[in-house]
Amino acid sequence: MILARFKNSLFGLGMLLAGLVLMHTAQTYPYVGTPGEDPMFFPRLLLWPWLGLSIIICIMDFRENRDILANVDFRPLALVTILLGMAAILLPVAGFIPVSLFFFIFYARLTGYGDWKMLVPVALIFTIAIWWLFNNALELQLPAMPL
Amino acid sequence: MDILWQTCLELADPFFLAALLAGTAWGVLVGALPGLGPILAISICLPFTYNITPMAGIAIIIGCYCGSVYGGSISAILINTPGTPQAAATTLDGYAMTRNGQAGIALGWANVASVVGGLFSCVILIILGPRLADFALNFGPIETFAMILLALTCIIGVSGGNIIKGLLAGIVGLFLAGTGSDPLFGELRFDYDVFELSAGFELISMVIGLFALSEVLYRASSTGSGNKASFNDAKFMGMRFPTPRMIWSRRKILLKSSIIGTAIGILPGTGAAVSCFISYAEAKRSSPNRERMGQGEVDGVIAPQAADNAVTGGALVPTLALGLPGDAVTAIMLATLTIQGITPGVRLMVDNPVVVYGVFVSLILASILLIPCGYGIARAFARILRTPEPLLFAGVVVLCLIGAWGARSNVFDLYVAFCAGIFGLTMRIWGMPVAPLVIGLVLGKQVEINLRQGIILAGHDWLAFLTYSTIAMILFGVTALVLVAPIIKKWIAKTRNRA
Repeated sequence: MILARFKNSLFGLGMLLAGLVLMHTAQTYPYVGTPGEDPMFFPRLLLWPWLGLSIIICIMDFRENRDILANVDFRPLALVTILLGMAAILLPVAGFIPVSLFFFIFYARLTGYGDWKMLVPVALIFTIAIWWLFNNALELQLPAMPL
Repeated sequence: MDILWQTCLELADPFFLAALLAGTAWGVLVGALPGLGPILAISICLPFTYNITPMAGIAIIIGCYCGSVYGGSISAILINTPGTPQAAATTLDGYAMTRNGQAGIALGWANVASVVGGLFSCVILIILGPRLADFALNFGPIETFAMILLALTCIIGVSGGNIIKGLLAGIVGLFLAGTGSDPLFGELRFDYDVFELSAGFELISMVIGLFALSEVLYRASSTGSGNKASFNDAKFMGMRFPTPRMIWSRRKILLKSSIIGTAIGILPGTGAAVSCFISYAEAKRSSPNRERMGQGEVDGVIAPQAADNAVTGGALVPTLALGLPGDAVTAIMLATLTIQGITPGVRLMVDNPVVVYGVFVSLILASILLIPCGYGIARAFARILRTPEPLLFAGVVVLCLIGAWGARSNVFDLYVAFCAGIFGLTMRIWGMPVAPLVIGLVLGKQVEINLRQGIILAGHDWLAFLTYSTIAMILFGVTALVLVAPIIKKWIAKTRNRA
């Protein structure tokens, strides 16, 4: 139970740590001046309540009787996250059409869609239609293939 | 009377009506696609206005403007991805209604509220335009800060049961809005020597990540499997308009939200987002169904939508009467008028009265055209939503990645959207509401700019800051009342129970 409670307060601890790092950056900023002109005035104004609220949230979540992460299925989540990350990284490198096709097909398969005969044509038509719409009609240049 | 007759003759041209219809339909379509928005919709139409009559050119731009402002609600309601930042307020109850199988009703009410808000602001523009423009000049930084502070109080309303986590989310949003260069002096903050961070986080990438991508990841995690309502389950058949009786029963909230949107639209530099969130907060405070807000309540869709489209007419008040664009959209409109040889400003009514009346009529007709355009595009979306969920979400993610890329054609924005998606998922698992973070993101820059300018104006004296003007004091007082009133109400109820 103690482990579950500690897991519950992970988010609050993460926010507290982030707040401390940001506050350190704000406090060590080399500027001395009036509040209106100080670039770190507003961030500091926000970071103090950030730290206080993070501590309160840590305590609140620690006192929760349930395991917040009990219902999270990490395997499909990890796979989808990796797929999404790869799409974001490869989109400007490999181009819109191959990356979108790859993502469309693999995401649908990962989330349980089994009909290949429907999946591949739909992915092709969707990707090409979107490419045409954005590049020609909306004049928003999507990343092109390197070839 | 002669001028009115002359305007009617100009506008009776079928080409004018066709231009208006095309502009409105285009605006709704582009507005519904996440990450694109009114600025892109209008920018694309701008070249088409060079070689046509001034009236037709104005019609296209105004139709685009009204349509794209409304269009953001379609994706906000159907796929929890606001098409425009201000439509984030509509997602709060709109998407909840979709999950409850009421997507058609939500879209119908959003459409009606947008039409009512747009028409209301047109009427105000016609009757009170120049006088309101003069009043708007009284709003300096301190008054604007006070008004945005009032908008921020809605963070408490949208936090659901967890106010502490909601407050932290709001603070994180306000903080993230300020990364990059200092808005007053350009000093770099929290960039950690990363070049891309010098421009801060792109708002639309953050919104796409926090709402849409986190939803995709949330579904993949199988968390809350009981809440995974499928769009297909909703049997969505398209937009369902409310009956006139139903519209009459919501007249108070429609009117109030329209007034809020128009009033805030008149103030230069405030933007539609402020009006949407203030309107939502007011609805949360005064609606007879306030307990259901956030869980799929119609008032939660009506309030932000009416305010959103009411901003369109209000924003044209300073643009036409003073020649001051309130935001990027009205700046493009000014450019359109200038290209056509028309100079907005105090003499516009005298020098080009036909143009002014033409703008009024264009606004009225564009608001009415939202009905068929919104209906048609929502029906198209309905067909799309009948596809199996894995395919649908795959398409949604592709569109979201384009939306994140399209803001600045910058690779970094893709990474921001991805990281925001992971952060949004983490927030959802730990019960931290996402909406307050988005509110903070949208309003953060304006809060800081006006606060710091106000402090400088008040000579670094906080008392002088708070008592700088009557308008500011009234707004600060209303904010304090909004914060304190629920506590007092609870205390009175407790005392009565004891007695």
